[in-house]
Amino acid sequence: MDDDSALIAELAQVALVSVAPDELMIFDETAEEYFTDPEAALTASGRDAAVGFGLELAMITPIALSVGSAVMQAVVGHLAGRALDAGQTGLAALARRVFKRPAQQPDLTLTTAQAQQVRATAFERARALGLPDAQAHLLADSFVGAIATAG
Amino acid sequence: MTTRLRPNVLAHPSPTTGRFLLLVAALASAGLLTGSSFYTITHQAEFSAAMKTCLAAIRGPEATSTEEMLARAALVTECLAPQQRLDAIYSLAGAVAIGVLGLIVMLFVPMVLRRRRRLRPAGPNMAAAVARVGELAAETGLRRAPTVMVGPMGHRDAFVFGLPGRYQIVLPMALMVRWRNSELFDPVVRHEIAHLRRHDVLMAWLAASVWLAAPAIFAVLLVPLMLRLDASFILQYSWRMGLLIGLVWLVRRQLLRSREHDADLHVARQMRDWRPLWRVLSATAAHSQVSWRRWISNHPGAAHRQQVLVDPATGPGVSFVDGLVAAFLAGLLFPVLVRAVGAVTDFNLAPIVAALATGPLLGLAVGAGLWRQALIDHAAGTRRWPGGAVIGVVTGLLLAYFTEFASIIGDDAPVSWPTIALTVVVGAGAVLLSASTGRLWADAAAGLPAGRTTWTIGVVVNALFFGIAIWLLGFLPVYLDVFTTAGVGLAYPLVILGAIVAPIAYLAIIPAVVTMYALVARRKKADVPAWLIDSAHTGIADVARKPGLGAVLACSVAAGLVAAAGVLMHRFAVGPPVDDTDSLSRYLVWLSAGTLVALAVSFASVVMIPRSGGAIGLVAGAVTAITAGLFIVSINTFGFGNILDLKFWWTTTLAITAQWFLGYLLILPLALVTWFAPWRDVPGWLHTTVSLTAAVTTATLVAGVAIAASG
Repeated sequence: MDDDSALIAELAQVALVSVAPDELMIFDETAEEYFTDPEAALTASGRDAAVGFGLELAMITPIALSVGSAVMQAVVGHLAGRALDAGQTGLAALARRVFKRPAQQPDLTLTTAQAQQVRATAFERARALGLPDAQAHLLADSFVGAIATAG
Repeated sequence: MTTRLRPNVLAHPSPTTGRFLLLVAALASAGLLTGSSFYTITHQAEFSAAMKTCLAAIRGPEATSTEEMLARAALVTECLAPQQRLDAIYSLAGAVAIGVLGLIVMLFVPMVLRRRRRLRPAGPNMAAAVARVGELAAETGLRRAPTVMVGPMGHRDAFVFGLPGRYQIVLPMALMVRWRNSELFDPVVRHEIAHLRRHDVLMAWLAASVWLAAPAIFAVLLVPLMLRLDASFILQYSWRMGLLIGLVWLVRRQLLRSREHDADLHVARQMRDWRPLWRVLSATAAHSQVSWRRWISNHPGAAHRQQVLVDPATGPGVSFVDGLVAAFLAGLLFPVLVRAVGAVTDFNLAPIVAALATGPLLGLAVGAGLWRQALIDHAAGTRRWPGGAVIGVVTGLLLAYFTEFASIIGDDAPVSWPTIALTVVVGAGAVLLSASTGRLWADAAAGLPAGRTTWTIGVVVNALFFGIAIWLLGFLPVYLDVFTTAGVGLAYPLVILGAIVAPIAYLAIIPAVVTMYALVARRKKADVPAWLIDSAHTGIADVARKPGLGAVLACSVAAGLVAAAGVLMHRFAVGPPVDDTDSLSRYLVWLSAGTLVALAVSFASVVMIPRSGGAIGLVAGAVTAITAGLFIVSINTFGFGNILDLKFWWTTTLAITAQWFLGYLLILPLALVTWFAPWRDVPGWLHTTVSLTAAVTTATLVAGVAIAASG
């Protein structure tokens, strides 16, 4: 798992604490499977197969990881200018500095408006991936909370 | 007020079992037919040469009598026996090949499934969930818990697979991690374990495996067809096989759908509450289905499953497709079996053996299903219409007629409209006879033995009903053709009908006795038996209890006497016969009087008594026909001093009964019209009055017409 993926996983893991704590016990293997083939992890296989209960029970973890990717991109987008000024080029490094910002770099904090935009992005992605509204809200809030509390 | 109880639909043989048998029979038939067609294509020249030799052996002046014609036909059959045996061997080889290939595929299915779906045993981090599966399996009574497997994240459904003793349950990760959520986890796992408990895993996967194996066998036939480079042969074979495959596909999907309902109800019964599973189904994605998808999907829609959980009486009964496929297969298999059995044993016995082999197919898939529905309706206070099954069976038999595989090579025989009419009448009649008798049987539920004994009787009776129907369809068209070709008129076939029908008449005694027993047992006024319901409380079902057996028998015997009186009236009016031709026409008056009076009595029962009228008409008509025959020959012997010939007595009585039965099949579809009539009981005096009025009117008309014709 590369640095970018590791950071997304870290962020998703924090968000899952409130959204789907049960899934944390298999988080590592789920994350690994997701990063190997994100599309497959997010798509249901064998619908209306010859045998089966007829369930359509999806894990939240791949959705959280996908939302995590979108959140990362949004955050990087907001802070790209300031990152260049600060001499950071890597996405992971930049994000790490947002989420685990040292005290001497207060300028890398998200504004309230930016945080709201990040939340909206997270919510939209979660909804697009089929998460019900209530869970999508919770997941989006968890991500914003994870960003806010990560430092 | 109607008594509505929650029926225990699991107390009866499941429709899934019937459908599985249908599927196996369908695929075996496909094998038989492929083998037979292979023989026809590869040995066509050899067969033609044998046929020429055999026909040369009987060449000579034209046959002067029907007996001589039949003797010559028997000679040709005997001469062709080696070819027929070869045909039978090829047919059997085709069926065995599909079966063996299917079993091989089934052995490899678990391995392929694990690889294709990337399944793996649940890891140690899911040990708690695995332990919970073990607990639930033990609660259900499974001796050995299935191995718990998980798949990739895209896998979101639960299912079971594997071979006996090595079953595996596959659960989605999302469910495994929620094992503490018993409202979600337990019902789903219990449902999958119910599949194991009900032994339908092997059934479903065997069906899937044979389905996968079958195309390989079908393709084998294409090789010699291609070598012949004749597109018409390929076309003839392909559309027939396409039809068969299409029907197999439909029934396979029906099987998969009905097993889901069975497993759902099993869980509800086990948990003594249907609500937990109902709530899980509320949350599933495929909540409802558009109507056409219900016919082709692998799963019933969640909304339908919920409905069946709440009211099991709304679950799947005998459908149009069941009737269609079962009748199609029976109709298709019968001639193949006649040829195969005839090649190795007495050719005259072959149709009876073939009918006894194909009858159970329809008896189980359609007849037993209708009896099951009748017992469910008995507890639930419903009255489901058997029209779908009737139409399905008739359509299936007609399809089989048009699909006769023997005509793949050579000219198609011209369409015979009398055969088509007979097919419709006999097919519909047999289904309604089964449905009506099932109703009568259900009315007597309080006095019946529980469970297996009742079901064994049901299966035997229905196998006989449909066996007789198939035999009639195999023999009647040929019988009519022979006599039409011979130009002997109607009299001779009617006279010898009794002798031909005799072997089957003995078999008909069993359903008749069972029906009479039900007529007695339904008089008992008691609660719906516990084995038929799925609730703590019971009650007395609203069933028909009148007329009783005594009234029906008395009325029928009186009607038989009326028929004999009509014959006597004719005799007094026209005097003794003057020559053999006159004697023969008198004999036809006997047969007509007995037959038509018996039909009038049956007609009265079918019209007056909704639902079980068909069964009561069976008893009333049969007793009338038999007593009419006996009274008529008794008067002839003891009243007019003719010789006492018991064989003549027997064949006369049988001829009347056989004619009545054929006519009765024509009347039976009326039961569909009266099915929903609101009344239940018809007092014995009313039934007797109407029946006897009909009998007297009919006997008078027959005698009057006969007297007028003599004058």
